[in-house]
Amino acid sequence: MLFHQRDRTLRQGVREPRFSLKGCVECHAGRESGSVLGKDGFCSSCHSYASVKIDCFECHSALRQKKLAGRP
Amino acid sequence: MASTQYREIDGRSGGFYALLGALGVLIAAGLAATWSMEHHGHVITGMNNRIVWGMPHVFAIFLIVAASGALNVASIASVFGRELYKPLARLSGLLALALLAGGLAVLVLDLGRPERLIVAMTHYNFKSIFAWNIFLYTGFFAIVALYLWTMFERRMNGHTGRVGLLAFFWRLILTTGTGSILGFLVARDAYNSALLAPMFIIMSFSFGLAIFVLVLMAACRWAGRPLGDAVLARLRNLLGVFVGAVLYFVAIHHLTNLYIARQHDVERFFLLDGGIYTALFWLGQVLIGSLLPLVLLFSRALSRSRRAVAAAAVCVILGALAQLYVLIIGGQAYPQLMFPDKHVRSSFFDGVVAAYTPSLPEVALGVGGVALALALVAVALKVLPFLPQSLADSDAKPDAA
Amino acid sequence: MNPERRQMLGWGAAAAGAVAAAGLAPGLSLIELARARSPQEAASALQRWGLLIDISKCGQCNDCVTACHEENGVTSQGRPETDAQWIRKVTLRDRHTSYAQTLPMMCQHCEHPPCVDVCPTGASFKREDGIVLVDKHTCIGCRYCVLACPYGARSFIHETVSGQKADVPRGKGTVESCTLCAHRVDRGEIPACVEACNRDGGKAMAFGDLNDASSEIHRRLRAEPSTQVRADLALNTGVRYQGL
Repeated sequence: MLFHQRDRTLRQGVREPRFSLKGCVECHAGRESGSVLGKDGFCSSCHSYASVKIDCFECHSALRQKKLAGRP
Repeated sequence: MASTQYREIDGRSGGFYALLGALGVLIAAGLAATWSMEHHGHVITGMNNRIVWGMPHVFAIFLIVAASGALNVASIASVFGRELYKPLARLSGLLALALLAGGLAVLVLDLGRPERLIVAMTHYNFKSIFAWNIFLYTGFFAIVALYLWTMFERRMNGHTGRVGLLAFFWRLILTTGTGSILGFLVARDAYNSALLAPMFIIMSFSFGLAIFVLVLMAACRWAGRPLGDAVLARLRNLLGVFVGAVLYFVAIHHLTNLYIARQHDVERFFLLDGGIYTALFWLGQVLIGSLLPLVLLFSRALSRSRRAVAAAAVCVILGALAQLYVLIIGGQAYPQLMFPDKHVRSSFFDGVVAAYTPSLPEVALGVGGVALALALVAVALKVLPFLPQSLADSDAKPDAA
Repeated sequence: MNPERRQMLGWGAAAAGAVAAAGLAPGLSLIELARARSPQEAASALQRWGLLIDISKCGQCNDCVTACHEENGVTSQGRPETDAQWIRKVTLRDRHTSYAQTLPMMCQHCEHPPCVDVCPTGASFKREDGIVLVDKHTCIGCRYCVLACPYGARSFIHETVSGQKADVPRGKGTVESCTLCAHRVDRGEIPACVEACNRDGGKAMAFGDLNDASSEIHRRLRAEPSTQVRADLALNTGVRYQGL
């Protein structure tokens, strides 16, 4: 899904919220780390176990943008 | 008349292993350089946002252009039927493949994202001459490999002529493409010219033959195979003609530019006040790369000297590197003039001659590519019978005419 | 006319109108052209985004540059030769008269972009609505497009990037340039440089749909003189200048 959808977004400008990488990160970033990478990160935890390198986050930000509710 | 005997070289002497060792060190240095560039980014090189193609590209384009020309000897044998060149055809094909491999290795390893090579080979934008070149280079490997096979495999000897013809046309298109990579750039005063494609073809003849002559002389000498004057005299004359032809193209290029008022500034830059580029043009490209070899090759006093031929070939190669440095780097250093008749300044170095200093990783990568090509030749000579047993005058077959 | 016939004529007119509207562009009606497109819609060739820059109003400020680099996460590493620059201020001084001017230079979003022609993998591409972009997924970092651009608009990323903005992915080893803030435009906003210029600067920059006859940019281009940089190359740039 990621590979196919990214071309539609990038080349055709279709920005469906449910396919947005930024959207995935917003929810799935760790509570403490604010990131989908790192130990127990949503993406890294499986990828480092399977030793399949991902380079999405060399370019894309892995950090949640909005503050979580209930946090200062 | 006995047919040519080919035999692998022994390749067991100390000298051979020392050669492979030395080349191995250079290749390792090149690999270390490329790892470092990939890891830290190109910031560790001398290349920048104004000079995006640097020393690696000088070497890579040299090797790629020479690869195409190195096949000339085989073409003269198969396509033009010159008997004297036939024993040299196998080595010619090998050199073409090895030089291209070395050049492409440098080009690919310098990419910002070399791990995306598969992407490059599966996504083609056919409007891009660069994309066409990738396709042509890959095809060149296949065709020359096939060409060599028709020479090695006795049953296929009858097809050598046809495949040779295909290889001949393929590399004319390929080298036209290489020249057009620069020639198609409309916005660069140093490049924007239809002349670059045929000029690159003639350059390939000259550079490729110079390397061929040196490799042939070295291989025969170190493997103890006789190399007669008849073969050498023919190659000497041919190299001289090619060097002269390159000089002609360069002269026409600049003379035409000098006639066009709009091109005066860029001509002044290259010919007069471009600093290092002017020096390399006159001393490197013209004097050492063209005039000196012409004297060495055609002077009557030196007509029997083998050293003169070797020296001429070395000069041609040095001149070639100078020529490509001036063309590739000088062509980028010269500013793109967007606003006629205005002095231009900006934070992005608009309007000024860009600065560039070659860095160690770049040179290591480029030299590593050369070493790779030579190492491939050395190993191949040991593994398969590329080199004739003898090229002595008694064994050489002059043409019937 | 009897009521049934009147009704028939009414329906017929409505049907003809609907057919005409549908025929204009599948899925796009006349009213929708005027407002920002929804996220689920693709960019359309009916729009062509462009900039109009009146350099007589352009002074010594660098607000456009600062705003662009802030918006897009383009940070300086203190190495001007290799640092990326998506937009820059260029100062011109006439060789004969010494008359001086300054203007912002960025990707010109050409209709016939040389960078798109030369890219071997097709990573450099033009979106339907005229914005020229780089697909970093496909870019191999060969830098041929940097050579080909007549405006020096492209930058190669020479070192590892960190702190990317969520809307603007950037990474080492690829080439990038001004995106006309596509991520903002797609939301119905204007590019950061234009916003900053209008808010704090000389109000020299205008952004809009070149194809929309009611837009300010279209009307001004029609009524006032303007030029393209390197018009001789016949690239039909999306960025036009006044006062050059």
